[in-house]
Amino acid sequence: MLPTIGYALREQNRPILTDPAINGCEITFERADDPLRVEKYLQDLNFDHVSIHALKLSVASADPPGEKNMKALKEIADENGADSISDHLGFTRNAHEGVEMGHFAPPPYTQDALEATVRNLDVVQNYFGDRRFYLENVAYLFEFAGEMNEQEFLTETLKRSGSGWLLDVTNVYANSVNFGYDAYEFIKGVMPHADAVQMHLAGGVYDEKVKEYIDSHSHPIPDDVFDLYRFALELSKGKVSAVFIERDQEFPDEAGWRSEAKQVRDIMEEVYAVSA
Amino acid sequence: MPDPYRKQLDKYAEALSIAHNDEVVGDLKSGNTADMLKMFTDGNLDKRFNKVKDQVEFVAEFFDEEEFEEQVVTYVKTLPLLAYDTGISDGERFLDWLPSQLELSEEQKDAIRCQQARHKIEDVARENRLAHVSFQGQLTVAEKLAEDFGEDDKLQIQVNPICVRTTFKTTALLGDDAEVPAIVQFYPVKNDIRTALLEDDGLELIDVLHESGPTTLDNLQAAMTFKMSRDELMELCLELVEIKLATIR
Repeated sequence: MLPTIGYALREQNRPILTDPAINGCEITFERADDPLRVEKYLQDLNFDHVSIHALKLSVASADPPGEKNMKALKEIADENGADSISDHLGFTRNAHEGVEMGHFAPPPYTQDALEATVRNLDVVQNYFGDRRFYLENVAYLFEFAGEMNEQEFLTETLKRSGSGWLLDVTNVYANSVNFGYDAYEFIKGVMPHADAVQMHLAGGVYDEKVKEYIDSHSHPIPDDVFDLYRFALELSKGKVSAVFIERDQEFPDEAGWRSEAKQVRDIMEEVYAVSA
Repeated sequence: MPDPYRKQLDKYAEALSIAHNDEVVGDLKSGNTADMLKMFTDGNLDKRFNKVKDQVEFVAEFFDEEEFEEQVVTYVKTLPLLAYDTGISDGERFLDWLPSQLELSEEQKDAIRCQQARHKIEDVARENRLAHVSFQGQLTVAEKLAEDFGEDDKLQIQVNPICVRTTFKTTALLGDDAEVPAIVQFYPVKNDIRTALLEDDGLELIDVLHESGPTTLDNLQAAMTFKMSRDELMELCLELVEIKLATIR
């Protein structure tokens, strides 16, 4: 069976989510978390796979996420019949009574950070029970000094926590461009240690001024990312549940939304047909 | 004694939340620069500035635009965002902080009270989401049931569970004819926040209904200290139903 394909739900793409190329959907928790909302966030839309994507579980913090925070997430998941939940391998706050930075940063890749992350993921996965949790590799603008590299840290985290991997293909691409490593080797190295996989695809922009690829979710998915996606699909057959496209700025027209989803599906069908 | 990792993240998060990057730059991996850190913190502060501005947009109209924006900039650069920031909590904290920075007029204070009440509605709804959804669902049949209220003894009146009250001390938000100080009732209808100016009997009716939960007209009459006839009380109840501050079940 093919993995589901869908968009991260935005009001701009809601009208095309019944397209035949689309049978999955990702809900960003912070967007759905409107206390006055009366209808469920999906309204009358139905999908084969729904995932709730969070931004602030902060699994690499010194403390596990607070129960109130997880309860709110679970309520949105229940309301919308979600199958899975995901968040990023990073920290947005230091600890319970601490402060938020506003966006997640990568943790220092140290043994201490690994211990805290694995412990926090245990708490998270126990709380969400049967709903599979997926951990996303982040795009970062800087790295702290550490004792291992990102690939080693991510691999150890997946191995020890049993968490699924939300492979953000564009994040791997962005980091490989900005920090000079081989994106293919990165994915090849981590994939065997993930027993369940989801993927994110998005398009960013190369900023000539700062010489960085910015993961801005503002452009069509670039060909290099599509190539990497094909490679990742070939490596992960049988364990991918869903692929989600993210777009947050410079929204395309209706044809643009539909054609990108179709392109993602065409590649998947090619890869799975070859294996069949 | 705090563990080393906790101590390390305390240092990073506290510094980066207000862009004190110099305190962290020495901890970056070799080859990483201060400019890279600056891109991270500049982006975060910009996002926070815009978010706070959106959350207090209504209040901003009562201030000089430039002066107000300067206050938001000072706020995001000096007070870190608190852990577990949700919804409108940062904007709410800004409004608590603002009076310590500026001498506010009574009109500006009313604007802040109004925005705080709206924020409070969201907080109360967040804590009582099931009650909110259930009440809003019940509203869809209220008009029909109201026709028999007072005649059918089984019908009960129920107040909107998400209610917040504040007092305006000027007419700035009420119109020149209003008597001040005025107690203003805030409540949601679906995801829209409405206001009502009620007389003392209406305010007591809401308090009694909050205390009692759904109740019949006869029980309500026994609980009210405001003395009025059954018909008068029924009429008051139906007024609350009409503006969707109460429903019939």
